[in-house]
Amino acid sequence: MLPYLILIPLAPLTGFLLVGLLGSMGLIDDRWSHRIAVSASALACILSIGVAVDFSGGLDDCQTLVAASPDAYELVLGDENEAARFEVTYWEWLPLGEVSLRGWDEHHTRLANLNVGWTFSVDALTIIMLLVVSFVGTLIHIYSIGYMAGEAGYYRFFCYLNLFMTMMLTLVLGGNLLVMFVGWEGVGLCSYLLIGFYYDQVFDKESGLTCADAGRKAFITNRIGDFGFLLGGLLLIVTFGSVDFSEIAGMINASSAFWYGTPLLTGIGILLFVGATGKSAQVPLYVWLPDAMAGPTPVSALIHAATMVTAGVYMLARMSALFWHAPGAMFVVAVVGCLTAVFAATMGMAQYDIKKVLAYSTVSQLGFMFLGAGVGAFVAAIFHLMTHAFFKACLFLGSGSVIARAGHSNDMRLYGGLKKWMPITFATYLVATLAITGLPLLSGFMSKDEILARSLFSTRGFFWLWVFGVIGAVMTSFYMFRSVWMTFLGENRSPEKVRENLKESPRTMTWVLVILATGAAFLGLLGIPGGVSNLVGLGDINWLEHHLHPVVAARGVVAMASHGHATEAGLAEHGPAVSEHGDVAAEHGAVGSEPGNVAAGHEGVRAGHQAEDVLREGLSVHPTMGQEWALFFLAAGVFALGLLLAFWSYGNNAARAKALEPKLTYVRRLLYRKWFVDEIYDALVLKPFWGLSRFFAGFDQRVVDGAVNFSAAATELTGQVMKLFQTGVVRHYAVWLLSGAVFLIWIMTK
Amino acid sequence: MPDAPSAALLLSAVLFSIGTFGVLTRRGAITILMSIELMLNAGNLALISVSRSLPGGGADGQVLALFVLAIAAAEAAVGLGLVIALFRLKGSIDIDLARLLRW
Repeated sequence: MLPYLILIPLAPLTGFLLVGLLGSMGLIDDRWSHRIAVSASALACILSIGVAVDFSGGLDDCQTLVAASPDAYELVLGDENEAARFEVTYWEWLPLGEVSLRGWDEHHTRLANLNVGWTFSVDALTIIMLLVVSFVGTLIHIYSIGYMAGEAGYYRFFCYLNLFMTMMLTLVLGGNLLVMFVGWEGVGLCSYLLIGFYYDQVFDKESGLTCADAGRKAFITNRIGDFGFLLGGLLLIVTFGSVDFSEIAGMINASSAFWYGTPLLTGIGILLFVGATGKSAQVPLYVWLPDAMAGPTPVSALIHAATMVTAGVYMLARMSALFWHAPGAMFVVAVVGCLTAVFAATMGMAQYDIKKVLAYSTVSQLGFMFLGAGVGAFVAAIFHLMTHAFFKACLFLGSGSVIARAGHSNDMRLYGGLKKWMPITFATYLVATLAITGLPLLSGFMSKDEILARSLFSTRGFFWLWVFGVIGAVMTSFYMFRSVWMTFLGENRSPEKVRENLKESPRTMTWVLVILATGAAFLGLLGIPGGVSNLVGLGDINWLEHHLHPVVAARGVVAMASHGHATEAGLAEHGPAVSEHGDVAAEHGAVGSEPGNVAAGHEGVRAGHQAEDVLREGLSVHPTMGQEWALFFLAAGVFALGLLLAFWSYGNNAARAKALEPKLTYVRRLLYRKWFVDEIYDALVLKPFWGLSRFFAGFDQRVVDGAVNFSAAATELTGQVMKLFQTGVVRHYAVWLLSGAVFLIWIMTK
Repeated sequence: MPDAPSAALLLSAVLFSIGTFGVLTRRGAITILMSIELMLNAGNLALISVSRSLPGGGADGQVLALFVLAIAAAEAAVGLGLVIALFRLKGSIDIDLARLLRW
């Protein structure tokens, strides 16, 4: 299927055009709208599976294809230095030709051939993302048939969904930064369109925010992040003279090309990460995601949980070569991710809107992914992205199933005891909850605890990152079980009229829930952490690690000069073994705690992949068996602690829950009002911005317009005076003429 | 006693002033036209008298004076036409009546 790669985004694009055009002309009814849209998405899914099969079957078959037109194709079979990769350039998109790049000084100014092609690239990472996006996307298309039935603008919904699939697949397939950026902006557009789908309705009654406002908020917040992303991309271009991911990675990994230095890479890394904070809703730009819940629930599940918001994590993994060489940027990523994971979880604990609970949960889980990426556990981050796509989509769709039946109310205070009416929804929601909260051996346990373990044991980890990660995990467990109790267990608190109509959702919806819940339960088996499998004596059976490692592995870090940063402190936590190496390294004059320099301490500087083995060792200090068990029980304890807290607050005693709920103590109020972050942004950013805008508006109206109006007024005044001379009496003119002549003669004869 | 060109120029200036006075003070259109003729001819007189004292015998000034005559004839034709139009419109040739073109 590899030669038909371009059909993957083209299929939903066709669906988008067909449904959009025919639907808006009224030529197809609702049934055909979803038939076209679902089959377009399903086609993309089937093609993706085909591509995955081709890719894993080895790329040898592609040799003839590549040989036939070597200009368009690029094939890397994969070795120690580079991951297996298949690239197609469909057309010369921006043939800029030769450009000169400015280096740090005039000696480094050089010429580069900057021809940006429309390139799609497939490697192990792309495969994972393709499968997740197209599979979950197709399921959610199917779910929407039931959920959106009878809604106004039915065809519009499906045509946007198809466009989203196109853009997301473009983002994932893009072989260079610009193609990725097209997808990146495209998904942002679709997100905006779909959040504002009910554009005429009020979303938040307390603040009067309409759905259209929520869409704008998302779009504008993303603009701020995208500005950083653009700057990072431009800096990347002027530094490397290329936008191609593999070329850039090659240049960074080749130690000889290290004239651009780490500070520049750190700058690029942080700027790109600013883009990720916008798209992936991290502190401080996360504020749009909870309000993005204004969109229909399938949109929340697909775009704002499973796929689009994870684009930032994907981008980081894609640029992993750069981040490996910019430890400072990685540290920022890890700290922001960890902060977000905890901060969002606190807000999630006090929300009553079920979708907002899940939204804050999404922000928090994305924080965990960035924490993983930031400590160098890119594989674990992508693993968590995968499992999160399943369990969070399942949770969202479960909440959608509830909302659709419970009189279109999101308020958990009006639910309760729904288990009786909606057994399938309850069962799938419970499975997904157990997965996200980390019931041992379900998918969330595997991925989240892999991230936490890495944040402790990776040389780029940091003890406090781990501590806060664990606190975040406890809160995750609490707020998820809180939502289960408030929604499905206990007594029903719905209004009489709603209660009479409670029943299970239609089969198109429940089947999707079952499939997603199955995935949420068992997907973790793809990436059983070495620690867990070692415990039961199975050895290393982490398929995902083997699959993805070549793409995101650190290469050539050994050649880097070390700049002191916080991982030194992180290293110090890892026991005497490492710091001993560090001391040796210091003795040899290579100051610092870079893993590469650990290698340097052993053998002196070694180049290329020889050092990589050492590097791998250096980047994950292996915990002992005892530590493994400790982590395992700690994870189980975290899960149980959250469960017990939720049970104590909401579970066994309806009277206590009732007494607790309306009692908004200061802390609860603070959390319910989301730490007043919206208000703080309003006061710190929006108000001054509006003030500035008003000032400039005043300047424009008074000074700029004033100058224009003054010249007009002056002209008019002159005219008003001068017209008095035009009396219509010929003799007066003759007098003026004569005086003029006399005046001229007087001048000339003077 | 001034010499010949000076005397002629003096006469020309006097005639021009009389003509100007007529244009500025009289209300009858015909009188104004006549005053304009007087001013034109004062100009002619100045041209011819000055050109006499120029080297080459002064053909230039005389030629210019002929042009002035031709223009004066055209001006008289147009002017009289206007006077007739004014008379048809207003029943009088008082030019103070023609003051429509004003602000």
